[in-house]
Amino acid sequence: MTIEDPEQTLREVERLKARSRRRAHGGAWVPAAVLAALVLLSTVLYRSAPPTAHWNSIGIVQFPYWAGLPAEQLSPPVSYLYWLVGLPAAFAVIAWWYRRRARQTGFRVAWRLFAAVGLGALLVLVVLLAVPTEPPADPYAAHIDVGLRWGSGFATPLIAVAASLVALAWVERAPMLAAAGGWLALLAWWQGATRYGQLPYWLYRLFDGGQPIGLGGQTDLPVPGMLALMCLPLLVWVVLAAVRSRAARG
Amino acid sequence: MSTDEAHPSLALDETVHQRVRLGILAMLSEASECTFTTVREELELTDGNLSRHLRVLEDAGLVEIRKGYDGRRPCTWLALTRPGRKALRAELAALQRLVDRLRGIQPEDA
Repeated sequence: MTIEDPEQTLREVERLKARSRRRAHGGAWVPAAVLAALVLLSTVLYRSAPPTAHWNSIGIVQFPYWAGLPAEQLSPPVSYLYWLVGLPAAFAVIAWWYRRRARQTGFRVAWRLFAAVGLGALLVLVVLLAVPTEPPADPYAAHIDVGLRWGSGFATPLIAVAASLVALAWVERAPMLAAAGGWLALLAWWQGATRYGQLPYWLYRLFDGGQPIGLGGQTDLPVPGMLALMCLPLLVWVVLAAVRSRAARG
Repeated sequence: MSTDEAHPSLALDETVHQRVRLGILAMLSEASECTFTTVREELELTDGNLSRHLRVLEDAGLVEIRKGYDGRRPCTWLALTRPGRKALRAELAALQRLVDRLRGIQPEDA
């Protein structure tokens, strides 16, 4: 046996796998772009007041954060409808697109799993938030509580989007997409668990030139900027994946 | 590598190692399902030839064959099973060890 035989076989197999991977997963940027658009479009759900006004108007931010972030919403029912209709509609579009792509390429990815995770996370959110709870003894005290509220951080549809992105990364075998979903989840959770624009104390120290401060600080970033920041790694991934896909076709 | 260690070529699986079958498994490893037509065109096979190899892989439990419809057209979907994925991984690892051996590279140096 000469070295060329197994070596050539390995090379051929790798070439075939790479070609199949491009055909099967080359369109992963499309569903990711649809979800990114849904998050960025949710900016219309908020009042355009600057965050400092929000800071002075404690009590207007309603829990659960149906718009996504703990900021003033134009209308909580509209926010609720946006995600409860918008996310399933986005998945319907994505399902149609995956079917069409499977017909074109002959490859099918497990997109149903990805859709099930996203819609399942949204359903869990709706069910959990519908559970009646005892009203707080002092509603005002509840609002000014600045401690970390772990559970509240998950009470946002943005977590369902982040879960969808991680599932999409799994079915499309794109680890960097999972990281983008993780980043979105982290920021969404942090905002919900603290308050809008709140920075952890170590980050505040970093921005503030290392001044010792124990309580952290707050950023003036308006909601559209915050949503863009949350989607930034996702958008970078979408653009790179789309360029790669186009280059492979060309 | 110790001299009493088995030669890597002995780790090659006859069912998987065959050129066409290795190609089928490699293609299927990259997606959850793939159509019969796509595999046939990519590997430049005839219907009969591909069917024969698929039967071998299906009998060995490495591939699942599902007949369905794409709109009104009948369509056959192929998928790699868990043992199929494992067998492909083992085969590629055995091939790599074989290449290393033929090059005279010890496994721990590779």
